Amino acid sequence: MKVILRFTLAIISVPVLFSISSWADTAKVCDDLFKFSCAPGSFDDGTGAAQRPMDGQFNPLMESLNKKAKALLRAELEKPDASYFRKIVLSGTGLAAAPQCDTGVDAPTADCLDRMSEGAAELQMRFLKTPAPRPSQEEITHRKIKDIYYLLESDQFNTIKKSLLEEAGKSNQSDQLNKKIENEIFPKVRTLLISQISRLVADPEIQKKLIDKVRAITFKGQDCSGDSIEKKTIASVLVANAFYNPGNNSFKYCAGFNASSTSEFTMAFVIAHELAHSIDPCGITTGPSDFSFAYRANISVVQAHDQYPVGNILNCLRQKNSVAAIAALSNLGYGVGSYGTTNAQFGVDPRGMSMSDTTNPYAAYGAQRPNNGPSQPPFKSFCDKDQITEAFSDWMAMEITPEYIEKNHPTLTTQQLRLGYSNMFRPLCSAYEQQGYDDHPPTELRTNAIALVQPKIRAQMGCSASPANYIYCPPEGPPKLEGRGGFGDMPDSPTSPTTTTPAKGRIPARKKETDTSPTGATP
Amino acid sequence: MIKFTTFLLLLLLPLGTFAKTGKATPASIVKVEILHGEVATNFKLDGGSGTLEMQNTNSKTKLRKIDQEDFKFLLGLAQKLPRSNKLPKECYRARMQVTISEPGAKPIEGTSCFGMRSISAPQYQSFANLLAVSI
Repeated sequence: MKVILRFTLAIISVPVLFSISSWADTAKVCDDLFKFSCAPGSFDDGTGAAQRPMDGQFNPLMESLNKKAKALLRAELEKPDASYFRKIVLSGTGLAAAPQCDTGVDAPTADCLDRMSEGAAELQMRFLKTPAPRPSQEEITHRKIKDIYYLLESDQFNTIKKSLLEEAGKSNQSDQLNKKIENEIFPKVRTLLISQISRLVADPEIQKKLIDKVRAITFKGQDCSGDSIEKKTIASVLVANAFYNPGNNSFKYCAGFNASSTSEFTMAFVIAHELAHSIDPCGITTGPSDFSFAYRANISVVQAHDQYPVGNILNCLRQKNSVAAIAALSNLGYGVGSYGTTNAQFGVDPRGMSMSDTTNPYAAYGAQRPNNGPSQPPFKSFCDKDQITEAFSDWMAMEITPEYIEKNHPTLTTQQLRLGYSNMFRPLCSAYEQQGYDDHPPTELRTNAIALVQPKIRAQMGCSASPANYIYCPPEGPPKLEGRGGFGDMPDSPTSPTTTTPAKGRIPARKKETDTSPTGATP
Repeated sequence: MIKFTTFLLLLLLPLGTFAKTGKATPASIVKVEILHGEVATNFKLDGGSGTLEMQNTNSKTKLRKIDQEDFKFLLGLAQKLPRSNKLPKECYRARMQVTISEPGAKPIEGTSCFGMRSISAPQYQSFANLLAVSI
């Protein structure tokens, strides 16, 4: 009997000990999800696998397209009447001085034709993929840009490009995935967003408008290459990308994601993020004017933050201990500083534009209270160069994704959940420090200051409730932060209902106030 | 006499050199900012340093040298882009902005919308593609 008991205990203890040791090994992910999100390799989370974006030379599709490009170019270059095109290619590739091509454009050697098609194919492939992580290619920097221009403008080059793009588009798209997104993932995510709107927007009139808008969003498939050959070149079909289009209230989940991720964590997050753009601080104002939200006229930037009716999180997302969403200064009526619309500087650290920076208009928040009169910057819009739209969409996607996973994948283990949440940003991994302005906050902050601080995500990942480095922005308003800086410290905090102009119909947790303005928040 | 001439030469040479180098002329700069859905790309074309620089959401900064002829060529293309510096808010998810700063002149801005149907988009995108392929 004792032997059986010992044997049973031993059998039970093996997985328990293994599980404890695994937890100890991976606990770092609770403090830094970004680092693991950008680690090399493919990680299966139980709903699918994801990896970092592949460099062209390791991407099988890119290899096959490169072969096709060479063959098509070679056929074009061989044509007897293609001597002008051969001249363009020789100059554009830098091969005009190559000994192999000494025989001239009218009678090129086979070796010269091979090299010409190889060089031009390399440029075709650059066209096909917008810049991917790779070292700079010094070998073409000697080529004259003017010569490259002639090559890019030539009919032959563009005909071949069109054929390659069509093939890339077809190969990368999956009918099965299209259907799965359209019939399963998108409707489920949309339902969750509608629940969030019901939870966060108290005013029934605004709530209805937003819900109606979200209900009307359509999925426009995975082809993000645009409707003209010019557009196809910039919207590379091979880059992980997604769009919300306010013009027709639709979104696309681009095929470029397919090569990097089959994980539902990625798909749920990306789709939730795109749908959230329909109600983000700018997107909420788009759509038919009689049925969309409008900020009051002649208000300050501070008041605009408070008027936004979906939760009370914008002020918090501006904080340095959150994602520190920045705005281009000129949009806020300042036009000074090193990062205005017309003065964007490379080499400016966007983090330097955060709340505590004296060059950031929001830093003057405390001194320029709404009742301080003319010194308060007038509000123009959140629609032009303001990271708050992306920060909000990330925040909302992080409210939705754990709900989606809980409902649709309830049996995932803690390990799988940790892998899954790291897979959300894996195809978008950008380990490089942002230097110029980007509407998106740096990936590190999106991962660690928005995703990793979300309470439900932390619980699912088996992490402690308190994140180490950043704060969670609760929908009811910024937390009181003792000794950590930020708005919460201000005695006359903008979250205080006595000094702010809150949105008509903010979340139920907040006291609803009567809108007495003649230019009310809703039309 | 020789001594005096040498003295004068020693005095005037550095002054001449200073006069030559101290007259630094500000250079033309073209900045291109593109937001296309979830991917942002910035280019900077600097006539002073003779460089073309690119930054992208997904990649390291890239830099290449360009000569004056190529700089003037690209500047010419940028100047020919349709001028409009006001975009509807519906363009906030997909847009391109080109800013040309020339010495002694107010910066010139041009914008195009990629998200909606726009007659200027093909020209702007061709310009952006040329920059992307060239670096």
